[in-house]
Amino acid sequence: MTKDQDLTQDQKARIAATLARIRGGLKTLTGSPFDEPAHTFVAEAYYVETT
Amino acid sequence: MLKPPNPICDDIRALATGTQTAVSLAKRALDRAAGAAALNAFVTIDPGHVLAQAEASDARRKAGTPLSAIDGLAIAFKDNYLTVDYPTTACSDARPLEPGGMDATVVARLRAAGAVVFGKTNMHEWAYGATNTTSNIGKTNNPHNTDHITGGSSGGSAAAVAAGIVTVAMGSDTGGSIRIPASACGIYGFKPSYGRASRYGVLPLSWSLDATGPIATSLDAIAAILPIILGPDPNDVSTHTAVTFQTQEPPANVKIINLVGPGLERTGDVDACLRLALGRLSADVEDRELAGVRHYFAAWEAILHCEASSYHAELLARNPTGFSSVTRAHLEAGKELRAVEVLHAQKLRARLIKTLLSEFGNWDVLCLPTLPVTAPRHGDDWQEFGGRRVSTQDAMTWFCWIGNLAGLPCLTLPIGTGTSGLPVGMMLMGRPGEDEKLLAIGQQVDEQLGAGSGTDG
Repeated sequence: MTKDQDLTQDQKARIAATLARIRGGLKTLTGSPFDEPAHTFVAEAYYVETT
Repeated sequence: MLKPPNPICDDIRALATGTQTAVSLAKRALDRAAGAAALNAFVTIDPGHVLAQAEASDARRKAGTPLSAIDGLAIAFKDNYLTVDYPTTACSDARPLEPGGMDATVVARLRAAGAVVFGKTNMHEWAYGATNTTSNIGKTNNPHNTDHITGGSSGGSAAAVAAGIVTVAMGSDTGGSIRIPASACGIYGFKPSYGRASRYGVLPLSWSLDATGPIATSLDAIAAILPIILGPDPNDVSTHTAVTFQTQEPPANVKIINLVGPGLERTGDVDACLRLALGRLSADVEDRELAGVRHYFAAWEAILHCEASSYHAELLARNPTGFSSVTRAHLEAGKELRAVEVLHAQKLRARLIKTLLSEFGNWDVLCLPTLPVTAPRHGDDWQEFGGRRVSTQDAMTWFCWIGNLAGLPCLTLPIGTGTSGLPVGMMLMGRPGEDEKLLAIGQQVDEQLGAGSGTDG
């Protein structure tokens, strides 16, 4: 973990603003309990034969 | 508008008929690159190596054994593509940990088709931004007006194409990085569906959002490149089910959904340009609002920062000050996000995909302006449109991230100019895996608008 004091005030402000924006957007998430996250990869993809 | 000379098909035809040789085309490109040094489009070009590749191509044609129709064509690569013959820097002082001495799969496929690997192009550091103003070799300048940015992160590739140096340059796209600079520079760009073109050997920004694709002087040029680069790659698991490119005709009656409403604002001149273009098309165009746009944007941003922080964890620990200040701040933000927040982001991603693919009914393509503004002036950090004041960085990705979050194939084509005299682009997005259909519709739209009206007009 980066020590907080390693960062400049500008970097700290950018990080705070980025996290606030993301969390502000995500916290309004509502929907069906059946909603599932999108999956990045399909398991079958790992069985590709390499040449 | 600036007209990139010698569209690729002319070059391919000239190579086939012998009116040009690979060496003559390479010399022309080298001359133009030297004459356009003020654009700062390139990180590295090795003229001797370029000419040696071209001479080898000419020898193949002379022997009657060209490797493909593009044998001898000079293609530039964004400096996050690993190349056996050039170093790869991602335009950062935090040097990549990946070993050199290899070609990315896309580079290898184009090289096997006879492409002359022309050089490496300037980019936004680590592709982590959309302006091309953060690079360890300096900002890239727009060929239409060097006081303005190219957009990014594939800004050097777009500048090289728009200036007529090369007719094709490869880029990568995580939130619009192919389409943004292509639009800002008045040319064409194509982001394939997620998992359709190999990412192997292209330094990642965000594994589940990244795509590789071409920037070019025409959609015909892009049509010449896609069959070479699309398809499965054993080294990229996301391409497991990818199929090779099969040319299609456009559907008889094209249904276009024009996305509008809150969160999708744009300047008046950009909107007018788009509506004028849509009005000239023989297509069924329907305006439709996409609810919750800025919430979906938060999901894209969460996934982006987390994946980038994970990818860069080792390098960030070793050399934190090697990154620019802003890039490092992005990476540190990604480290602060919690797992449950990323899963929420992935739930929003699933909902966006469902909304677009199922709840919007039958459509062939979705449409937006590629950018809400024309290319901003260097130093302008904020843009104002639709009653909003938005950072230039966010203005650049304002629409494009949707295609990455949903994995859609996307293209941009030039449709005219704004009040600034700078290019305006139209973005079309297809259904996942329907890259061929998207390209066919794009070519039809381009023809109906005057066959490259943006670059000829």
